[in-house]
Amino acid sequence: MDTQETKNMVDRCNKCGLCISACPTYQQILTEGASPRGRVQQVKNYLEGNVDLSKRFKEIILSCLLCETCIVNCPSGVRHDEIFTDLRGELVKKYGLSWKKRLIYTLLTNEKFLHSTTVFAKLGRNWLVETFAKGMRVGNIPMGKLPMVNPKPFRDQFDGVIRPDGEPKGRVFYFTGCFTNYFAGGVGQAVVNVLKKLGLEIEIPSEQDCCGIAVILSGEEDLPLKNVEKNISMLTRAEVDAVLVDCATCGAAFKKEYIALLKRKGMDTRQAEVLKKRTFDVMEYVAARIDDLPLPKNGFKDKIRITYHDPCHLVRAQGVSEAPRKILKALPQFEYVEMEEANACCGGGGSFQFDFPGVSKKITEKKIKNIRETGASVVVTGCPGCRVTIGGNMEDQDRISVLHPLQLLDWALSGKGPEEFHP
Amino acid sequence: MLSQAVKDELKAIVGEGKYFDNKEDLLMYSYDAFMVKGMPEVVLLPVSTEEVTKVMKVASRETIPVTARGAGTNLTGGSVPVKGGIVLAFTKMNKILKIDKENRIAVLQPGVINMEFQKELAKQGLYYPPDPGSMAATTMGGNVAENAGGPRAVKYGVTKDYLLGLEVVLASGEVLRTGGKTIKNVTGYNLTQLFCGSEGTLGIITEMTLRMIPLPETKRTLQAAYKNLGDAGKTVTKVFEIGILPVALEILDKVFINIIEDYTHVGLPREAEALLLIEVDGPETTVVPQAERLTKLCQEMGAHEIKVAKTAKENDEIWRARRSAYGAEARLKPTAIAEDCTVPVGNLIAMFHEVAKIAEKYKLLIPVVAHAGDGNLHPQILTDSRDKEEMKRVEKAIDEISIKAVELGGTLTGEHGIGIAKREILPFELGETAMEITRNIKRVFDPLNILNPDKVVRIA
Repeated sequence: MDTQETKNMVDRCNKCGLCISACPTYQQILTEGASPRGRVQQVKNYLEGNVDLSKRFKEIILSCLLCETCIVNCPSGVRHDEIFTDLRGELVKKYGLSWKKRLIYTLLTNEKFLHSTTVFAKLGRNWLVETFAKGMRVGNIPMGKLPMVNPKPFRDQFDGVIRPDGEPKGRVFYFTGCFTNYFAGGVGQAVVNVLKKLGLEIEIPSEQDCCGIAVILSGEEDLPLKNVEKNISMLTRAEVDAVLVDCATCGAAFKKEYIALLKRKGMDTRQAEVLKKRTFDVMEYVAARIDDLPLPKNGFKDKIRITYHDPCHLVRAQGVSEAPRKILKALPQFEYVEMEEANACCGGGGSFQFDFPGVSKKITEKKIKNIRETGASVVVTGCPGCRVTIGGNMEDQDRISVLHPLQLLDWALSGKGPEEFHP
Repeated sequence: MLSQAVKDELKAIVGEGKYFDNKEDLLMYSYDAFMVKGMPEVVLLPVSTEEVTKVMKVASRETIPVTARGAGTNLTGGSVPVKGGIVLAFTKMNKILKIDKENRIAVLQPGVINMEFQKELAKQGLYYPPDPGSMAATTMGGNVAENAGGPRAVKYGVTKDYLLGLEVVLASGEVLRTGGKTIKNVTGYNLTQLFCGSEGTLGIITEMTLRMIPLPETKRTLQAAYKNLGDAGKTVTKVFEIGILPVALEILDKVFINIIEDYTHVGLPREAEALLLIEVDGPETTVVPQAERLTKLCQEMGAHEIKVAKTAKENDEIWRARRSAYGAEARLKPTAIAEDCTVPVGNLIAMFHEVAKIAEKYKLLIPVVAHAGDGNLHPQILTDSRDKEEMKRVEKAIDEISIKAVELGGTLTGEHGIGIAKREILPFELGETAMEITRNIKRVFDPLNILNPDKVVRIA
């Protein structure tokens, strides 16, 4: 923990309170302890020796979603995320991690284990769950609504470089992240299809590790270092036009959290800066080249209504909000409508939904209400965590599909009419 | 010190999750946006008038200080429990009880957030104009207790101008209803307005009836830069002379223009001595010619650069600079103290010059932003609260600014309140007769001196 840096950041807060009402947890709990200002002042009191790392202190700090809404609303430039991540580090040192979190984080930081456990998970998830455990829940989400495990890890389908038809116009690394690799092969396929149509040569480095952000944000600083260093060296080893990610969280890791972690550890950040510069969310990269794609001409009737949810790790951590809308508005088979408070957190917040299921549920219900009110039959978003949270909390009768924007783009490029769309 | 038995009694009234007596949570109710802190002994979050009544009965029986609190955005320490005791936080008592379109009134619980109320009204084409700078967070109970203002006060007035009736729990626990549902009401003394701006020292507001007006069709904002501050000041009075009543009329001084530009890069004219923002609202057919007329006026008065917004987005862009003011200054210095003196509009520029003189005298950085249309200045004293020597000069400068405002025919505070910040200089403006009447009023409502004690006036 860098006490002086955190202290300076905390001292920036002049307690004006403009952050509180924008905070999703404050909106539900309505106490100062559930507000960004309250948490920052609590840290100030800790640094001044007025409180210690008590159970209640821990609860106050961990009840933050790290959604960064307060940062956007702070006139004084307080970086709440940096303060709280720093304190999470202190808390992990004192309290350790629960065995469940320790197990998951150990898996996430060990690609070989992860690869083999998903085979068991597949048995467990796809067969056992379907057969026996459909009524059980993980957090707020019924087991039956958790995503199915890919029949085969997505990356295992590819061997070497994927070439486009014709002369390549550029070369990119595609970092699939764990979710696409093990659960959302369909997203990965859509990304590859679209990038090929853009004439890009795609390399999916087979030795990529989990981005590690879940572990980093838990406050555990040493466990994820191996992943961080490996990903940085692998993704900066060769000259490529870009490193593309389809996951808001992996993007936030490369653009922001890796540098922050290395700084906290007093380590060299130069290569991390190189990675930051070349990393783009795949939607940013595609939106800038949308005119190069052979989308069908307009003229479809009975378009399918769609809406977009802004993940915290895209809209705030990376400042990406126009790109997905630009793509979605360009699809002639779909009618794009904006939902109320599209950039409000979905309530997932990584492990938040397991630590605070009641609060999480209420935040998610508000999001789902806003989605329903658009009348859309598809909600798209660039974050697997949000897709699991939103999809897992929808009712069966909602009949709203939850997809990645590039899945719609890939389908739209087929030129089929809206009546043929069956997600 | 509260006994465990009393604590248990209070806890039983509000229930689990709405009662705190642990150090971590008490610390988070020990502050508002002012510098001074005070530790409460318990924090209660009531959800009904009945609960408040029960709490006040215990408080008066045991003589426990009670400080009502909304969102804790107060700039003068009004919600800080300087005498310990109970903090009554109203954030969970936050229902809009009624929006009555026919009678153009709304009935609210005190914890409703100003912005949420505005959003709800806008859906029905209705409008509640008071817009304090903290409107995104502030509660309506706090707005009434402080008689909150905002930029739109020029045309629409402040909180009191929309307040028709109140439900108040008195120190004894009795429930008092004041006013009613009508604009016209001269039945008896105006107790409603007595509570408005009383800063929680006379009673606990548990329900309020407010009037609403139709939402204006559209608005236009223009921004005019002047090389001479006096010319900008003259424009302010001229706007009214040519028969236009703007919604808002704001001035930023040269220091502010430059610190905002350093931070936002929105392209403000750095060479300007003053920047004027004028907003008009109403039907399209009215605001378009008004904006043209105002452009001409600003040119005649010596503005060298004028920008008129043509769309809602351009409106927002102009206001973004104004809204960035506090963010920009916070990045310059760790502590910013928002002063709030107010003078008759004709003395506005004289007051600007007085502030500049005081800043020079005490070697402080004090940029000024003002709601020029109503003479309400916010000199921002940029400092570092950790620098004890400088803070002494800051205190002197604040007193001198306030006193100067009174000497120029104005008042100590336009919209932030007295609280702790200006309590000691209150007699300077009120005089002994008014002070004694004020203390006597306080004694009538709060004989035990348990309601937000030591705020506004001290009772021996």
